[in-house]
Amino acid sequence: MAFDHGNGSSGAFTREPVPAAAGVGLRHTHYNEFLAGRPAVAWLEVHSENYLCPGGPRLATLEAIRQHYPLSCHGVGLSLGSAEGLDKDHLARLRALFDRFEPGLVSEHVSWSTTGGDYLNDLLPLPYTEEALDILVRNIGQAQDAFGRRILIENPSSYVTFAQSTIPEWEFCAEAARRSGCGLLLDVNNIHVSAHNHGYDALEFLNAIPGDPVGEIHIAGHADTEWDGRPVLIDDHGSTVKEAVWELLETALSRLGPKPVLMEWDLDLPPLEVLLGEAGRAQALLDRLAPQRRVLDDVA
Amino acid sequence: MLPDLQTAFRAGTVGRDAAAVATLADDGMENGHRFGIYRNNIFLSLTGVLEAAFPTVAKLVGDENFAVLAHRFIAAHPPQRPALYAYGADFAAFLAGFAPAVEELPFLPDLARVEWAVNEAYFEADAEPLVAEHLAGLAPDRYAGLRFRLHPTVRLIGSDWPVWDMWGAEALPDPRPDGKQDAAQQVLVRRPESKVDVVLLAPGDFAFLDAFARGDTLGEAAAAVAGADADFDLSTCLAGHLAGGTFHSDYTIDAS
Repeated sequence: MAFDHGNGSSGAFTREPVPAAAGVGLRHTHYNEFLAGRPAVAWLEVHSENYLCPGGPRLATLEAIRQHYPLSCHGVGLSLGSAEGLDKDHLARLRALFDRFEPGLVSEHVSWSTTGGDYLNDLLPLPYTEEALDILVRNIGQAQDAFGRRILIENPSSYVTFAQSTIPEWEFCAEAARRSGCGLLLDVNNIHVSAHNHGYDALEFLNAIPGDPVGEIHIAGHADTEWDGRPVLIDDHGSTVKEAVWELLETALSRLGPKPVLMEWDLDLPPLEVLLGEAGRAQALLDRLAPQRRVLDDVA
Repeated sequence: MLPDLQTAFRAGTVGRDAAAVATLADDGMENGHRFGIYRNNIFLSLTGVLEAAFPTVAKLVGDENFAVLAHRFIAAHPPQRPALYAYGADFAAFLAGFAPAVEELPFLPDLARVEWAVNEAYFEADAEPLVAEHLAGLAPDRYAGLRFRLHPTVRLIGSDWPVWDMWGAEALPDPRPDGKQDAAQQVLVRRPESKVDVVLLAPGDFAFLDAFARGDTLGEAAAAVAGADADFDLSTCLAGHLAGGTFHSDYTIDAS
C-alpha cells in the first residue's frame, strides 16, 4: 500500500509530528484557557467527529489553538469493525478535516458502532474471530487509502465477551496491525478495565504487544461500580488515573520506550489544571525512564 | 457470524428487544448480564446530546419527562451519521406527533424548532454578511432589482405561540399561553460571526425575509409586504438587517 506522505494541502498548517511526551484531550470546556494563554502541554488530541460541522466557532477555535500545538485526531465514529463496511461520506469528511488541520496522528478503535445504517454512539465489542479480523483489516485498509496515511487502532474496554472468540484480544489487535500496516494506540486504562472485567492478566496483554507499531498510549480514569450486584469496572473517563493504571503505564513505557502519552477525560470535566496535573505526572514518568533507556541503548 | 451479531446487538440496545439479547446469550455472549451497560451508555449519551441541543425544552418539561421523550425518540430515530452535531433534526416533528406531550404543552414542537434552528446556525457554514457599504456604489434605480440571499445561518420560524418569549425560559409561563393569534411570534435565527442571534420579528419583517427565501427581488418583496402590513417600514427594516448580518454578501441584481 502506498501512502501519500507529501504535504499536498494548501491549508494553513503543515504536518507536525506528535512528540513522545504527555498531551491532553482538548474539550470545549477548556477552550477559553487555550485561547487566552498557552497552557504548558506538549500536544493536544481531539475527537475527530466533534469537528465535522461545516463551520462555526468550534472549527475557528480549533484553528486558533492548532497554531500552537501539535495535534492528534482521535476518531470515535468510523466503526472499523462493521461487517457492512465503512461510510464513504464519513471517510471523505474525515479526510477533509485531516487535510485542513494536518494532525501528526490519526487514530480509531478496535470496535464497531454502526449497523443497518444506525450509528449507536458507543464503542461496541467485536468477537475475536478470523471473520472479524478479516473485516477489520479490510476496513482499516479502506480507511488508510481514503486518508492517504497510516492510522493507529486502539484496544477497547469491554463488558461482555463472546464464546465464539478464538483469538486473545492482544493477538487480535497486534495481528490486525501487522496485516493492515497500521499502528497501535495502546490504552493502558482499557487493558486494566477489560482484564478486570474478563479475568485475564493485564501484563499478559502488555507483554504480547510488539513495541514498534505502538504510536501512542492513552491513560484515563475509570469507575469502580456494581452492575446487577456484581463488581464491574466502567471506562467512563471521568476521574484521575488509578494507581494500577499508572503502574501499567510505567511497565509499558519501560518495555516499549518513550511514546506520546495522552490523558483523556470526557465526563464531568474538571478544571484544566487537574488534567495538566495528570499529564505532568505522565511526563515525569517519561523523563525518569528516558535516561535509563539511553543507558540501555548504549550498552546494547 | 458478525453481521448477525451486530444486528442482534442493535436490536437489543436501541431496539429494546429482549429476544435479541437472549439470542446473543445463546450464541455464547459471556457476562451477558452486563449487556445493559451498552444499552445504558447509548441511551444516556444520546439523551445528553439532545439535552444540549434542546435545553429549553428539557428545562420546561423537567428531567424525568425529557428522559422519556428522549428515550422514545432515540429508539424511533437512532442517529444515521456518526456526527452528533446533526442529531436531533427530527426531534420537533417527533414531538408534534407525540400526543401526550402536545396535549399538555402544544407549543413544545415550535419551541424545539427554534432550538434546532439555533443548533443549525451554530454549526452552519461561515459566510461574509452583506453590509450597507457593499451597496454604496449602487444607483438607487437598481435597488428594486436586488435579489438578496439570506445568510446561510439564517432560519425563519413562524409560530402561533410566543416561542421567542419562551426560548431560554427557566420555567413554564403562568398562565400558559393559549395560542390565540395575538400570542403568535415570528423568530429570526442567524449567526453572522461567532454568536447566534435569536431575534423577534414584526410580521412584516418576517414576510419580507421570507420573500427572499423564495427568491423574490427587493422590489417584489417590498410590494408584497406593503400590501399585507401597514406598519412595515422598508428602510428601517432593511437598515436593521444590513446592520445585523441577515443577508449573504453574495447578492445578484436583475438587469434594469
